[in-house]
Amino acid sequence: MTTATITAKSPVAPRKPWKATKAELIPVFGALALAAILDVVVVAVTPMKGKLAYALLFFIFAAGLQMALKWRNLGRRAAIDSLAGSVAIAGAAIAFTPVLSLLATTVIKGAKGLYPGFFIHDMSVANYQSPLNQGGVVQAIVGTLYLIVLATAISLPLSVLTALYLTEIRGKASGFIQFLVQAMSGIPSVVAGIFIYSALLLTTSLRGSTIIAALALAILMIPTVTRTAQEVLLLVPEDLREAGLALGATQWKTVATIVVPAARNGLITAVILGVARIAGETAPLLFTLGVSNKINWNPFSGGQSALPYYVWSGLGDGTELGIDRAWSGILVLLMLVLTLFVVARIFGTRKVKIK
Amino acid sequence: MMSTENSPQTNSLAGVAAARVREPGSAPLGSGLEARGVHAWFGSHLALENVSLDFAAGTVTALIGPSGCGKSTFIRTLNRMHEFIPSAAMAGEVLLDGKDIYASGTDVTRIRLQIGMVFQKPNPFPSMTIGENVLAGLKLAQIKYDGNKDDLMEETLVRAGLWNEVKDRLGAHAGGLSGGQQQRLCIARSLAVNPKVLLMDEPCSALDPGSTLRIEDTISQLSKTMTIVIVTHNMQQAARVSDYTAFFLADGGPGQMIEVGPTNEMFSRPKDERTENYVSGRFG
Amino acid sequence: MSSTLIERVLPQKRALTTKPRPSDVAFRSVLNVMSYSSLLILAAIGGFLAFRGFGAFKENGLGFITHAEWSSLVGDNGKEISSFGLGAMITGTLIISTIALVIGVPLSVLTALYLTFYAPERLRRLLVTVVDLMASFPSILYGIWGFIVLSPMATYWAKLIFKYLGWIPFLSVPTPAFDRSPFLAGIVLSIMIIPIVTSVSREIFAQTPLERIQAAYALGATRWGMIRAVALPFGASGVVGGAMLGLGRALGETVAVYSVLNIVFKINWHVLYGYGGNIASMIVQKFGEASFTEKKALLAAGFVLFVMTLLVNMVANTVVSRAVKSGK
Repeated sequence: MTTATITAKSPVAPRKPWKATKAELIPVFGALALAAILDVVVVAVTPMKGKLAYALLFFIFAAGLQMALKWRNLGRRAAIDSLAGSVAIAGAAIAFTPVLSLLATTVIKGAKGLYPGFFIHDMSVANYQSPLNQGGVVQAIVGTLYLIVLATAISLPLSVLTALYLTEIRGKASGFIQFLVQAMSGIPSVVAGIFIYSALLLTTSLRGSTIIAALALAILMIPTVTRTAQEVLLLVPEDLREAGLALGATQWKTVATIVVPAARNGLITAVILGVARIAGETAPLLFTLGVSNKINWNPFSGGQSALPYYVWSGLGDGTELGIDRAWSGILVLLMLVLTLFVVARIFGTRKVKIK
Repeated sequence: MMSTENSPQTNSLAGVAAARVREPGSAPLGSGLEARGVHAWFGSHLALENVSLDFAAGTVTALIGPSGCGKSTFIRTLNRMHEFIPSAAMAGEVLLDGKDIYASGTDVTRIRLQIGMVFQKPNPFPSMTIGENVLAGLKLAQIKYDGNKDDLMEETLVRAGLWNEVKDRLGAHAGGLSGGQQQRLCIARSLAVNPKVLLMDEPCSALDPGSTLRIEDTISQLSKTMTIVIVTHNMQQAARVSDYTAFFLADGGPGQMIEVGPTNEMFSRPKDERTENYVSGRFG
Repeated sequence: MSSTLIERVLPQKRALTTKPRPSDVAFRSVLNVMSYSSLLILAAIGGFLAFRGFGAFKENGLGFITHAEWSSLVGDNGKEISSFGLGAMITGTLIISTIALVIGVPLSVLTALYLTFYAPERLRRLLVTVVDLMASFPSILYGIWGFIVLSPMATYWAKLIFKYLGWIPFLSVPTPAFDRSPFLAGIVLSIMIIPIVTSVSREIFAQTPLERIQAAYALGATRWGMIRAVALPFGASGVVGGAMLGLGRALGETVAVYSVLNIVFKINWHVLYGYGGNIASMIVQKFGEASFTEKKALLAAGFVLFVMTLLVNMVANTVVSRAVKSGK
């Protein structure tokens, strides 16, 4: 009665029976189409108007019809499950809509004020109400680059050494230090700005300059760099450290010649993420940067400009031309941030290099 | 062999149709669970090839074989847990009481209500009490239970062989139970929704020998009322609890079912040489 | 058998000592010292702001927190008469942050659930990147977008809400002025906190133990049934922590709120009505033209903001790290 015949192998195609078939998808898409039609009709014949009405009614019709479909085929439980899915999709759609609007508006409005001279000229030859083919952001670009370099120079040693303490020494205070770094990441940027102001400018003869603003930005950069650096240092395999120590190297040598080089790409990512965090910060600059409408090559004295500050001033100007300038400034700033983001991703994919 | 007194001849429910290999498309038995030409893929990797196997109502079938032979993959196709792996695909049919559980328009959640599953690692819900865990299936599947829930709880815990140990602490959290108790709680949880078939994927592999014996005891009790399929690494266990045994093997290629038969025959006079080698401990 | 007690004599444990080489001594001491830089910075911020603001605390007493009035005038005798109270700003900050949480947290949780349990793999990866990207947008971008694009829409929505729900006390308005309201500022902030709340929640949801998910499905649960019984109880503390991190961001956000809010030193409970308060924005607004005395009061306001955000963030981080640990 027991036979164990394995019949001649016939080629069998893999199937995914759990995936909806085309025949099953027709009613689903049909319901969506019906929802869209109902949506348009109801908006046309009732006093409900506007994008909000379209979106809300479409959701109600689409979710309702899908529910009805599920209820008919599979019963109440499936209908409730379908409703939950619709709500999750709607929530995600609402959450992501602003991103599209932000990017689209910035590109459309920002492109208006862009012309080659925008990247060459400064604002000493024009003011915010000048026609859009006059003046530019070169001073702000130089200022922002200065701020990035200085803030990185200040924060990088502190951040990496703190991260090394957390990953290599793992001393008694590790938990506490970790807690403090996390607490630091919550410092509002305006607080960093007024702290530097109160410590260095309020009662002294010092005036706002690039280095002063870079100090404020460094405070905001430290927690980001420390936490990312810590993550990548933890990815360095323990046997690499042990291999170094077993060769009789000191811990210092092991860290300097094995651990840190292995994590190099990750540390670069950490810096880029830190730079992305501060490049667009506006609030601290308002207290610490001073003002300049042309390039200031001296980072230690005299006011400076920066891209976020340029945008801020254009918005504060309030005129149509001023706001157009602000959009163009934010477009340049956004391109900078996006570039940093992409570069961080590229380095981030290979966080730890082991040869 | 100690399994002789547990032979299928003495088990009246083990009908004549049990444990036959049947071809895809042949007339369904109409009861129990039948796999017809089941293949399983992960991505482009064929993990299981052309397994046809019947599980008659009221029998215990053990699936044995070395690691990676596809027996766990196979058992997961039987209640559609296979499809949770994103790249998974399958071919063939699985019939429950004559109906294909993979047929288009099937409510998969209803299938899993009828074909319960117990996993390798005990997995009670930690946020629920022991009592709530037993009745979790009713809540999850939103079933309105007409009878007395306390009676149901007691009945299922008795069937799972856990009642005497937990009756005084049904309100305690499940995390405080031992591994073996947790696994019996998981069995009780599966029983509460009254499935027709219970699939057990190496249920004792994470347990100590004492707990293993208690679970085997539970399986013997349950087999009187339901169909059980158990994947096990432990051949003694297969011999102790099962009516039928199927031997799986992946010989370099995809996993296949080599042989199936009444358990005592499989262990005393297997037909295939590879089965003989495996059950006599020459490999695996 | 086991009843016979065997007296075991164990040797004394030897202490493992080494005489570290000078380079390691230097290395370790540098790290030990540098690791305290974060403590030093936090202490310096708190210390300086409290020290500079001490005068304002002393002169206004508890009124610095409770009174709504903020004025500084030079009297006939040339003396400065000032009264500084943050009441309206603190209330306003809390109201706007509450609106941000009420709108932002549900959307974030839904997004996190969608990303973890619904979205197809490719879309999921893309959207997770978009969430990270959203977090790196400069706040001035949210500000200018909120002012130019969102503001007219929010005014329209506010009118609708007032029309249908105006009978609810805090949704009423004394006169129909809906521009630059706490409602608008709250929406802008809700968009700004979505990335952090979503990514923290998503990380926790993604850690839901697979065996529990499988157990739920094997018991015949639908996807929603599984989420309700397994994922939500598992992720609840992470969602709470993420929401608190979002609150920390919302409390301290400056330029985005400044761009869209009409700041008035009067407590306003009507969230749709066109004025409100916000500590961070107020500091920016007043600082440029402030006298020495007023500047010190603004630094005191900064101290209050610092303490508020620090406390919220500390609690939030504790909650999140506990949630992450319990998941591991």
